[in-house]
Amino acid sequence: MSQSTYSLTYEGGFREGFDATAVRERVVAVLGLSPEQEGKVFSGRDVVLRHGLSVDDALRYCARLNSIGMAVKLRLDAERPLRPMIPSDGRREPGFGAPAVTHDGTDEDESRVVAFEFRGEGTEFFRIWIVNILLSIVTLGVYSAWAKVRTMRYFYGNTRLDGSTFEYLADPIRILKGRAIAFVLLLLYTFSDQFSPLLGFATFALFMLALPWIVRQGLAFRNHNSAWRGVRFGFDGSLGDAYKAWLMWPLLGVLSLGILMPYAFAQQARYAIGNGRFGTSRFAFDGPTRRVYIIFGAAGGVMIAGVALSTIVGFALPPLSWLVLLAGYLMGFALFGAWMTNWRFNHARLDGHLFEADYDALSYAKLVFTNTLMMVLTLGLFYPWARVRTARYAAEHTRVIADGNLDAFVAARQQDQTATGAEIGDLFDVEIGI
Amino acid sequence: MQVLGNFGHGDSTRLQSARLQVEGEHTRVLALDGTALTGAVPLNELQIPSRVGSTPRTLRFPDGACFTTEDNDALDRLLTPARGSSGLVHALESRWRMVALALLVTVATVAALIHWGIPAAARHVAFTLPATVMEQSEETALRVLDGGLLHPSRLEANEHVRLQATFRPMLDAHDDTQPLRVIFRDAKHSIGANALALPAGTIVFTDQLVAFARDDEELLAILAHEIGHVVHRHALRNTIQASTLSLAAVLILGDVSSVAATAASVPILLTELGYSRDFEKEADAFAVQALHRAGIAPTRLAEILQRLAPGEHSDYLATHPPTPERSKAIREAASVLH
Repeated sequence: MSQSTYSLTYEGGFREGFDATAVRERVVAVLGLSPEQEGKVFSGRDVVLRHGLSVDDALRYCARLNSIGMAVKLRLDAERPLRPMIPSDGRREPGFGAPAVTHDGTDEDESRVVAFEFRGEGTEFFRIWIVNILLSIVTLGVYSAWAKVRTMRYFYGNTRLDGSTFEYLADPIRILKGRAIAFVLLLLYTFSDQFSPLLGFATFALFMLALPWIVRQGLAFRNHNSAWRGVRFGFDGSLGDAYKAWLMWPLLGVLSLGILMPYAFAQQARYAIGNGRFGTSRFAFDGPTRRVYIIFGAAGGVMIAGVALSTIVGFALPPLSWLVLLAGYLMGFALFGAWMTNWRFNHARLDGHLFEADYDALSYAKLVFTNTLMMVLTLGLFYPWARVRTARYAAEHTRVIADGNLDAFVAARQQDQTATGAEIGDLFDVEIGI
Repeated sequence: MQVLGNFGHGDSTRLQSARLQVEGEHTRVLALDGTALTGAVPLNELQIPSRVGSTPRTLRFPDGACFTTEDNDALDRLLTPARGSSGLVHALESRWRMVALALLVTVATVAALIHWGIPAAARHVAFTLPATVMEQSEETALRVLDGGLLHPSRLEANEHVRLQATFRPMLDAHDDTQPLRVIFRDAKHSIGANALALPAGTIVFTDQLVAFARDDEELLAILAHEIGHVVHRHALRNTIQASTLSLAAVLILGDVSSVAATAASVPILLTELGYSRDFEKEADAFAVQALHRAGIAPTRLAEILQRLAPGEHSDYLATHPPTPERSKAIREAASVLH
């Protein structure tokens, strides 16, 4: 195996306490730049000064240029084709990404758009997924907790914001305990429903009563075990508010024949997002309820239109009417998913930083449709590619409008979280919607 | 020996480029200009995550500081002498041969579970469950049927008595622990000429089937088939298999969106239909034996089946095997008996 090599890069900017013109002159002298090269280097765009450097050479350059005031960075060179796990193509440009110790040229007061980026590959995740399943089979399901952690780490680790990836830190042992409890409950629920409707109903009612607790535990566990640049997320929602958002409002939604259901949805988003925390900074969420009513109306309208159209088509071409019905359902589903995601992101804030999503109903419907079709055609083997495509779509359509740089978040001291609620929520397919 | 990456103290999101050095059993992080960022920390006090694909790895120090690097190869080389390599699982994932083997084992296991595992487990459970469970289940099923599909029989009382007397010898002939009984229901506007076997030994004949049969032997042939369902606990096994299948699907696809879950229901439905056809074959085979013992030609079953559903030929979307196939199997089994 050959040694890793590095590139020396520069995106403009000078170390604090240095005078820009003086630094420029010294850099020209040290690197022996022509006036034309000088223009390129100080254009403010990302330029590579040297590449193919060994670690030692890279460090020597870095130290020398830093000492004369030039804020250069090091970046790991593109992967060698030898390495089996990573196909190298133009899109990938691995780097340390995060700003170096020096002032990085970003104006502290200026807001800038920081896009999310997803670098996972379907084929790469396929290998992880299939080995996960194999080991879960061999260990009779015990490994599934570790499998979940590897999967989560793959998706978090491939999602980047401002050059840094996210981290999933959950302890597999905790997940295993949670899973064992959830599995027993699921077993009870499935079979009780089959043998006695009364018993089934009782289990269902109990589950509904426990649901708000499950949701709260799930959000707390997920947030606590998610981190970015070494700082964990957190969740401060109270149990009382959870019962309001996940029991009281949905119940009122049903009693009001659905009129209050969109309001219940809005309350759930407020609870799930507004109580989130990154380090010591609280998320804020002010999505208007009006918008949720519009989204429900639009998605419902599309589905009803699909039913109507399929009935009309049914008179002429019966087999085609099924396709129309399916298309209507899919379109309504995609519209709902896309617009709700936009609504959640576009009204969320973290300190002065804003979030933005621009899911497009049509392209999202295309994604959902092709994923579903391929899953059916391959009897589920397409699953890893479907997940990667979904993650990539999400990253491409979301961003942060950062207020200055993202270095100032402070970590909070907090307790560990148990995984029981989270795993019950997972197995019962609880939608926590963020 | 060193690897480059980013260092943070763990108290904020402020990071700096840094290098991690290993000297013997200790490690330390230095800034690029050589300033020490951590003291010398023993390697075994460091949390080192396993390698996942090409994602960056973050090493955690006891005081919460962290060092993140994307240079997985360099990190492995650095830590190998002290800590072994990047992990067995990553090694498995990195080899195409192992991946192919994993795929093969997975597909084979799923296929074997569906083909043998679930049916065998369901059979075992069905024959160990106490009778009260089946009675409970049957009561529920009958209540649902009577609430919608079925109505009280319109046959005359003496016809009831006559048919019960005709059926009695065959009902008593089987050596199962479950007592059998036959009831009649009108299903003119729902399932028409049909017969159903419920979990605890009740067999439902519709008035329309009684009218459809040319003679009592044909009705006895159907009865023998339904007794086959009861004796083999098909209703219960069907319930258990369906529950187990959807349970397995939830476990495997727990985190897929609802559309993909809809997609998953297609293979589940196909598998359930496959199970259902297996049950019909089993019941047919039982009927051939029972009819032979009762001195009735087993081919009478094939005859009434052919008239009940003559043109059935769809393979994968049917609860019953196609009638020509069933007739052929019945005739073959019957010919062996002579």
